[in-house]
Amino acid sequence: MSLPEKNFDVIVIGGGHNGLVAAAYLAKAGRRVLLLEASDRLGGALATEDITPDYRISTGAQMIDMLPRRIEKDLKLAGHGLRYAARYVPTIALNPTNGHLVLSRRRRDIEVLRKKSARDADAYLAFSKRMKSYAALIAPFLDKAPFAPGQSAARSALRRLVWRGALLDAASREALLRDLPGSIGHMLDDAFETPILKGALAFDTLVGTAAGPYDAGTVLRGIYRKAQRLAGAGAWVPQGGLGAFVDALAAAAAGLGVTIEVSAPVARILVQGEAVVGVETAAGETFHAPQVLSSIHPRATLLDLLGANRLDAGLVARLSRIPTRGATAKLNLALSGLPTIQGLAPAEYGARLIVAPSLDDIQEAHAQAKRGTFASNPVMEVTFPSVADPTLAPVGHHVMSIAIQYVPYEAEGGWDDKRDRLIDRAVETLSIYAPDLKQRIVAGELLLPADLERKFGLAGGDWHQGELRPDRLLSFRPTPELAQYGTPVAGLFLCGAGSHPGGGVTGMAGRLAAEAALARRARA
Amino acid sequence: MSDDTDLHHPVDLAALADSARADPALFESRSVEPVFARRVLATPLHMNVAAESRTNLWTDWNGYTVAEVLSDIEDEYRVLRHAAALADISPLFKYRISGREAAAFLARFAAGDISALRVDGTLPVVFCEDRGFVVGDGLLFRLGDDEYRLVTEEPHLAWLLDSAIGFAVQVEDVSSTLAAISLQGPLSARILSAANFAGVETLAPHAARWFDVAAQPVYVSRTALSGDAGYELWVDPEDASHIWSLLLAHGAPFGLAATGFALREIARVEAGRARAGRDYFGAFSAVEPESASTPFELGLAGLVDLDRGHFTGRNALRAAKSAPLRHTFSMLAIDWPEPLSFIGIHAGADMAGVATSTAFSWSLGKNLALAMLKPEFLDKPRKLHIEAEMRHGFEVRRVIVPARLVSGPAPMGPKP
Amino acid sequence: MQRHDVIVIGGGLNGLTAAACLARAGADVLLLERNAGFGVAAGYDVAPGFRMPRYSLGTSTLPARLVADLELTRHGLRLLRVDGGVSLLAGGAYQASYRDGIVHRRELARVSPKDADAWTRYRRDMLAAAARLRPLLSRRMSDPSKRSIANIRRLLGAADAFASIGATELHELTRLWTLSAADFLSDYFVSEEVKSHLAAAVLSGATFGPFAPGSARLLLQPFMEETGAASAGAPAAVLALGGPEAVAAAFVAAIVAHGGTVRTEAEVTDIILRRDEARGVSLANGEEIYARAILSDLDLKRTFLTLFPWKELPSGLVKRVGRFRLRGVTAKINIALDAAPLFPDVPEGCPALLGVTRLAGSLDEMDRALDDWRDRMPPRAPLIEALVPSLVDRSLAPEGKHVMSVCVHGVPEILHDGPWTGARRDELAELAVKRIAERSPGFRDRILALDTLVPPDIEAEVGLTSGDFAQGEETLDQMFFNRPFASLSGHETPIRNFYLCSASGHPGSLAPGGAGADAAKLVAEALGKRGIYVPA
Repeated sequence: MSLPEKNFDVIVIGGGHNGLVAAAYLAKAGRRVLLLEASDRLGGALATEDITPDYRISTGAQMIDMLPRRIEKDLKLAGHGLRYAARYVPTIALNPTNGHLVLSRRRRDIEVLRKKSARDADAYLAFSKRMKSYAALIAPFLDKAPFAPGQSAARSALRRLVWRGALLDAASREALLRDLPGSIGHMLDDAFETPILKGALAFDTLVGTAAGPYDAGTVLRGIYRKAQRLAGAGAWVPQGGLGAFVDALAAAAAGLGVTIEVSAPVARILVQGEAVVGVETAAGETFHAPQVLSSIHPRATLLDLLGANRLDAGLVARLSRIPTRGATAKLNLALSGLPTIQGLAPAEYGARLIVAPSLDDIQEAHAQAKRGTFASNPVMEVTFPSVADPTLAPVGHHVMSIAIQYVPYEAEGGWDDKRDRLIDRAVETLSIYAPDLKQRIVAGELLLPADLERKFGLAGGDWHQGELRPDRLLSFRPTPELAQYGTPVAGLFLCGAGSHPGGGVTGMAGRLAAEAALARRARA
Repeated sequence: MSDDTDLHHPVDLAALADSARADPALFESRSVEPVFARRVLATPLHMNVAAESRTNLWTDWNGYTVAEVLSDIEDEYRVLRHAAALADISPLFKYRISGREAAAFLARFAAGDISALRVDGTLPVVFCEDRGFVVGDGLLFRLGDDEYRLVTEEPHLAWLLDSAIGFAVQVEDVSSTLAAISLQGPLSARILSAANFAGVETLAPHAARWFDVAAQPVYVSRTALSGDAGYELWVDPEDASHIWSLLLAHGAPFGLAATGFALREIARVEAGRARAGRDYFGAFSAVEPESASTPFELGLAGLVDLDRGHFTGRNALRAAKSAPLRHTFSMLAIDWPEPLSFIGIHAGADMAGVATSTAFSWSLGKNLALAMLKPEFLDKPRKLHIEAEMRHGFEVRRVIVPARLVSGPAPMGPKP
Repeated sequence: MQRHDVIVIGGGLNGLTAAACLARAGADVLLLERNAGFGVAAGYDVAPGFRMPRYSLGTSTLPARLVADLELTRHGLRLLRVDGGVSLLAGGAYQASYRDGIVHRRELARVSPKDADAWTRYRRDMLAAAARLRPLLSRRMSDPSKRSIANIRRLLGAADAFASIGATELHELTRLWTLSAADFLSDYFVSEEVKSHLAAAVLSGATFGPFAPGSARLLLQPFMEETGAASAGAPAAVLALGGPEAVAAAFVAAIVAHGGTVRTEAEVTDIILRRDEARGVSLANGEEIYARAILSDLDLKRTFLTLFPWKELPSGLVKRVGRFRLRGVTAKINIALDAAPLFPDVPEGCPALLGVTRLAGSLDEMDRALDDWRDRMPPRAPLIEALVPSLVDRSLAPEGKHVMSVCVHGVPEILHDGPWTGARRDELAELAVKRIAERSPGFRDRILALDTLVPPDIEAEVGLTSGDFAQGEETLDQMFFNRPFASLSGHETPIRNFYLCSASGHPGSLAPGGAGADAAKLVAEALGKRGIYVPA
């Protein structure tokens, strides 16, 4: 690889969606930007790939439900080819016995629920409203850089929160104070009686995390995710899968003048005196820029690329102890046709299907994963992307995406002999709903947390570069001293999911980090 | 009590010393005996020291039983200032730091510039945590290109190991595999020469090197708590007793005497040196941030170099440098002809601070106090008074005595 | 007609505290206790001449402040401090807690020299967090959901106070209050033994395991009574001479000395209501006693669901009471022994054996035990605590013989396949004996008598709903202003003159006696007993 230009205003490390968004915003502000991606393709965990020839699927993330419309507009993604195959994808809780449940507040769906439980129908409306009002309290914190505790910004932010809370009615306020620190399991047990409703709502909160349904802090996580979704437009699926979304993002960035290099792993961040001056690639090439933004894991950025000797020892020790615990596996299947799911209307095959019949099933799967094994009935999220986007499979054929929840990173006794068993367990469990699934499978690919780590560079197979838990949110993400995107080294910024507001296809960490970098530069 | 008890039977101290030497477990913190079984832990020199004790006064130093005073504190003081004082300083903590990146590790660990430290050199260091608060201080030895030893007053293994993350370096606690003897005083060089430490007179202040004495390797550093008239000997616990006896034997004609911990404390106070755990809290012991200190607050600015490469706490210390001090470590001299028992330090009606270590200096004929003062009183030193307590039988009298702020170490007795 | 200023229902620690505080404040107090003994402090003879606490383990958690304020020492209380206890870990390993800093350091260094040093930082952080928590424990919670100017002003004040804590400390506090014990300990320690030992010492009675988020805050418990002045070792265990019943006796002496009345075997069945105002109580024997204020030391559910006709209570209250989680997790096994038990894994003479001996296993085992409990399985490898109080207090057993107080944790209130039967109690006792005997050769042969009480027994005898010693699960959604729920967190109830003073209210078991003392203060103010002593 050889580039004529070696001097830039900004270098962005990592071509995941946050890196691309950061690069695009910086270029939009007139900066000359170089983006360096280690692997041979952009997008990180957003990718459309072959399961087997002719069957394509989003191997990592499935949907876009948190991307703020503003980012889409700012970067003119539609103009760069972004099309949606499906919008407002509904979520359906699959019932092993009778009557699936569409999780929505539409009257028709509520009436179906009312037939099961009148209490739950009312409770569901109240629950949705309550979660939304909680989320609205948090949402304003998500589209700006976190404040630094101990400073006046913290004081005014918290004061604003008190005033906003004062606007809630008394019952909501009491409920908020009780719910917020609690577990989603207890909250749902209080509110509902229908097991699959509780199971599906809990699953929605917990997917992508290692936390169990009765773990404290899971309500907060649910509210946080909800607040992130408030910024988005709903669950949308790009035409051509998430890879197509990345293509549009890359085209937008390139259009704004970003120089993008793939297969260019960065080996070192170069520092002179106390400021960043550029990077050196594994191939030995150096690029110069007074600012470097890194979208890869904060630990990898600071310990591997920068080096511990430029940081305080306490920070290094804390970074090295950030737990990375992916607990979600991905099973992608190529199918010779749509399996028949009993009781599911044809139009509903395009939905997000949740297989989590009860809180107990989730709890059991969680308990098993803690012990380095997996449940005999894993809980799952299933979609058939090819229903809305037929380009993904040959005519009449389909692809199926299955996120399996609570799969330990390390299995007791190693994963080698257990991969097939996990696939069997998932397929067996799904066959309760779709008895003909097994005979339709043409090919499949299982991505365990360790595979996700290898494939997408997600440390520990953790989708979010550090769990969304109270000590790693807002002003604490990834650590208190790094929460405002800057690092102790002038000119070096973090812009990945490890920074506020965290994981999910939001692009917000990239955007906010770009803003922080631009503000710093303007001041300099 | 009958007359013919064994109490007066002479004890074979040499044999006792031998038995102590034969049992290195006495100096091992990870010995096989239960940890609760023996609160009295002996250093490898315990029996040698015991043989010199005419007072049976002992004290606890880092869990070890060491002599408080061996003869009479005033005699010991005179020996220190006019001849040479021998002391067992084995309870200090010692860490061996080695590996390809040992120098880089220490450059990030210590607040000062260690790049000038050559092999067989020593350097006082202070080390801080991220907030710029002092974790501890100590003396750094460079034993080889990639090998260092850090000697400290308090244990720091956990912080050393945390600091080692990301460096190709090994950190080992060698506290119990290394005994230490201090030889201080104007005649100490001559005593070493007499004891066949050939060429010791060429050893420069703060330098160190190996000597072969009676076929035993001894590492000697020309280091002292105060001034430059002293040496410290770092030896295998197995050899410690022999070296001690050798020094005592050759030192006798020069007036050498074994001395205790109390004398070390007096010398330390005279030198104005803070002791971790007594005069200041290490950052990991200080429960409130207010009771932790920056190097500036401890008067250790000289051990900080903000302009070289990065070290832990540098960014915080840059901010702290221009910020007002919250307290400041200072020395006070009080004109009073006998040792005083301090209660408080006043400036008019205000409490000005707290005396953390006190000593009576016979050289100066004054009481000295190391104190943590509120910085506002540094500007009006004349106002400072000491409140002290004097006991006569059952009567307690309080006296208020003016105190004078001393800058730098107190000027001590005759130099060699 | 019998009349008093104040009636306290229930003689648990908080009831005794409330009564003692009010009596000291000059109120005419009547304390009514259903049983002959006082709450879980009750003692009995497991065999003739073998005296021990029937329900509780027997260590004292009384805050020193309370002992001093109520002058309990003058009323006969004698507390003894011993080393903090021993955990018997997997593979014959053990870890002990010593008060002496040097000895404790050496104990840690036995398994990890790094951890020995890390203790300094751990202790500092625990003491700092305890110092932050302490003022909250004596502060009355007021309903933060109430929308009033005063309330908003107070919340704004709290926001300011919160915002003024530095980023690092706030982060540390967040970690302590939200992380799992295992994650939190891993920030300091590397040795599994050290982590298991520290976790085991605080997990007794917990409804969540060491891997559950939120369990880290339990680690604070042993440090709440530490001032930081001691020799930097581990917190001590405290025993009362004569056992918990002697603690209750000192309280009773204090109440009586100040003109109060204490009646045992006097069960309150109903609150006498006039409109929405409590006027008195009726006893099981038909007696009616009137008072200007009534305090209940019963747990929330027992208070509102047994003392009142439901229909007379506001419906919102009944719903909130119903939602409050009370969960029993501990079984008590009382044993008379022919000789002191031996634990050869621990060196002979270990002074920490005078404290609590814990059969702890690994963090994973402890966590699994609580997962089993959640599934209502009989325990397989539970956390077992054993205390032999007669090692310290020879008066409890005949010469040379001993009593052993055993708590088995992770015991569900109801088993998944049916209720507790005699046979299943025996199985549980057998499991405990077997587990102890594995580490204590000859233990089985030394047993002279044995008694097993599972959570339903504790509910039936003591009246603790579900056998929950904490009078309500202590997770953040049921703590502080959420305890028992926002509008009741200040001890006042919707029924006038009726107050909750039990551990179902703030500060729960974070500060034993704290709810009683604070409720007493509230009542003293309401009765106009101004200027008269009440502990802060």
